[in-house]
Amino acid sequence: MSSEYALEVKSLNKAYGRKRVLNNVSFNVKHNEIVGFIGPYGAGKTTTMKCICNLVYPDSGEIIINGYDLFKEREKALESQAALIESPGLYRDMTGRENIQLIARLRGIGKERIEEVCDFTGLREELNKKVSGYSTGMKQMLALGIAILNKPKFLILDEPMNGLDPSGVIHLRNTLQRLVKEEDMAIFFSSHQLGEVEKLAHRIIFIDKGEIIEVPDIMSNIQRYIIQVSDLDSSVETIANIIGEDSLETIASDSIRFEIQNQDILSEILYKLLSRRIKVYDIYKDNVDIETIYAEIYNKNPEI
Amino acid sequence: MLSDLKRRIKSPTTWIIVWLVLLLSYMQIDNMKTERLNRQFYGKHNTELENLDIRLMGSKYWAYFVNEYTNKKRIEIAERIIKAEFNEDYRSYNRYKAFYSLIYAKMYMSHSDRILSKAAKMEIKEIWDEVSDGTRFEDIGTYFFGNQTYLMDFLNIYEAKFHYYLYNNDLDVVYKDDINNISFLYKYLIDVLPVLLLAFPVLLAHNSINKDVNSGIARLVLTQGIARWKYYISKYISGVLYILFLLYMPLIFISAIIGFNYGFGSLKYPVFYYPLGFKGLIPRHNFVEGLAAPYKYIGISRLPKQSVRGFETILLGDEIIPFYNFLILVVLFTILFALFAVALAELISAIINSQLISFGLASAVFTAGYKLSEPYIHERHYNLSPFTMNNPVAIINGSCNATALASFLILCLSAILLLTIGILYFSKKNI
Repeated sequence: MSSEYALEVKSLNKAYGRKRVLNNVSFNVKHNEIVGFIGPYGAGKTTTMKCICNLVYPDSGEIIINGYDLFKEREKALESQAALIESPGLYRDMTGRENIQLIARLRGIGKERIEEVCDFTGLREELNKKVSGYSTGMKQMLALGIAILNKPKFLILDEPMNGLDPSGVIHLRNTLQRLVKEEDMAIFFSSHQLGEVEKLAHRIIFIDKGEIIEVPDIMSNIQRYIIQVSDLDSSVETIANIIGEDSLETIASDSIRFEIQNQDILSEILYKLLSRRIKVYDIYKDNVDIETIYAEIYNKNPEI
Repeated sequence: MLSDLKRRIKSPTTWIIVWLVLLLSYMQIDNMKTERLNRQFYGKHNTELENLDIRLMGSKYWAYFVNEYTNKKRIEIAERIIKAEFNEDYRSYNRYKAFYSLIYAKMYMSHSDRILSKAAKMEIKEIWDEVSDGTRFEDIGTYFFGNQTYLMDFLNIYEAKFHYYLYNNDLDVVYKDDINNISFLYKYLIDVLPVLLLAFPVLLAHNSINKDVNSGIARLVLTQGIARWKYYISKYISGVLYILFLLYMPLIFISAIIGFNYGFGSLKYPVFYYPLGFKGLIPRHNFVEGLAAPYKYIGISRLPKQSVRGFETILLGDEIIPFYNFLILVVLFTILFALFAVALAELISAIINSQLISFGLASAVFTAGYKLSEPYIHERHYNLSPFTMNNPVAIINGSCNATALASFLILCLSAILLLTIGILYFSKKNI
């Protein structure tokens, strides 16, 4: 079944006893899109992800994965997705290869694909050793390999960077980007490492106290600049003529902040200002970073 | 399922348990050796009764009770038995022993109960002509007990049938304390297996689900599009197979070793069972409690006794089957109990997330289940508790107040019910 979205979550609600953990959660993930999922501990990230994986049953709501309703066509919906929720679940007393083979047998996957996945994990020699001796990074790569055994179109990762050293994080990031490009996959992942989310995600969804927080799309092409000029009124008039009044604001007696879609508009603004003999003392980018947004949303320091 | 089973078999727990079973088997063999040292008779076969008969030949005591021809015939057969035993002619030994038992059965035939008397007569006559060397049934007299019924005739009929079967199949007697693979297996199945059948599900299946949930394996597997009921059932089947593997694989190995060291018994060796147990739901009640020696052994078979007006005698209705048939039935009831016990342990493991608590709860449930139901195995009760159906040999020989058919139904229904509850619960469980 073809669908515009890899994942559609509509009005998801979940309560544990009297405690409401998800409140009308709705969002979507497009095909070939990497979406980060951010929120403090207890915000409802893992519960949302578990609902999507059918590990937790929501009280109400709809989850559609690659066009299949999770609650009506569970097996078809889950067939095209893979997930790593919380710590990777692996049989510690088995070798890495045996772990892969076990899940492959469950899903009826052939030897050729098993070998591809063994290569993918990069654990070629270590695969014949017991998982109990693996580092966190090795376990993560093995679990990821197992997750993509059936070539899913949608991958859910719950804090995949947890416990990884910097080289492990870089390796995982590159791997995930490769999966999106080469395997035509969409990825929905949560993380507390905001910098990594910013580097990896095309789009970010924020959640707090079980509710999705609406924030400007910081990952879009819109760029913000602050310009310091000699004549504020004339400058405001000039810039407003080009980008419209809604896209600018005066932030000091000589400074204006404005938003533009591309670099060509910036050249035009500078050209017009200089043509009207307005002096430009300074101009710099004022793009909002994820940490600032996080601090604004949750009214506290970003958790890193 | 097979992968899970393979993983379990490879685990260190398996080998610890295999060693434990080997140790128990060693202790069992040691017990048999001690029993053999304390054996009440000398020589290969038990000819104590025949020797006593000969010693008392001409005694007024016997002459008073039965006619002279019966006494003479009995002594004559007793002498032939002793001679056959001396010559190690086990075929003749069994033939004469069968006849000797039939003479006693006829002597003890009830005077007061016409139905029992008729039943005994029919049973005796079934094999009389085959072993009597032309001695007429009518010429053997009966022993007079007044109006009392002691069922001693049936005890002797059992003995006669047993020896006649051996004679027919050209087999020698194996007693319960003779060490060979058959006697060891029987003793193991009746003494050790019931304990292991209660212990293994608790030890090995109490964490079958929650261990996977806690370690994340359940999340990994269930997010692969595998239906929860399939996962639950595959864990269940692998759990049952694992327990059966641990119960029987070491046993095959040990039996082979015993066979090579002490000799192999024939798989056709006669074993007693209660055939009516497979046809009806009303049990024959088990009155062994309070008896000084609650069981009678014929060959390797353990038969429950009862006390009738102060006399200890045997329960009625037993027949003989070859050992291999008996073994198949034991395996069947072992499987049935494992199906029930693993379903219960797995349900506990699905409900309780902590492995420690689920172990404690499973232990408590199985112990309480057994202890509370135990009194119903004896006396005039109808035993409906699946917890007490952990002794396949007792079920087959009809000595646990539940027939084999009733046990079959109870164990199957309990397993299906527990499995259904488990699947329904697990399908809705948040993981």
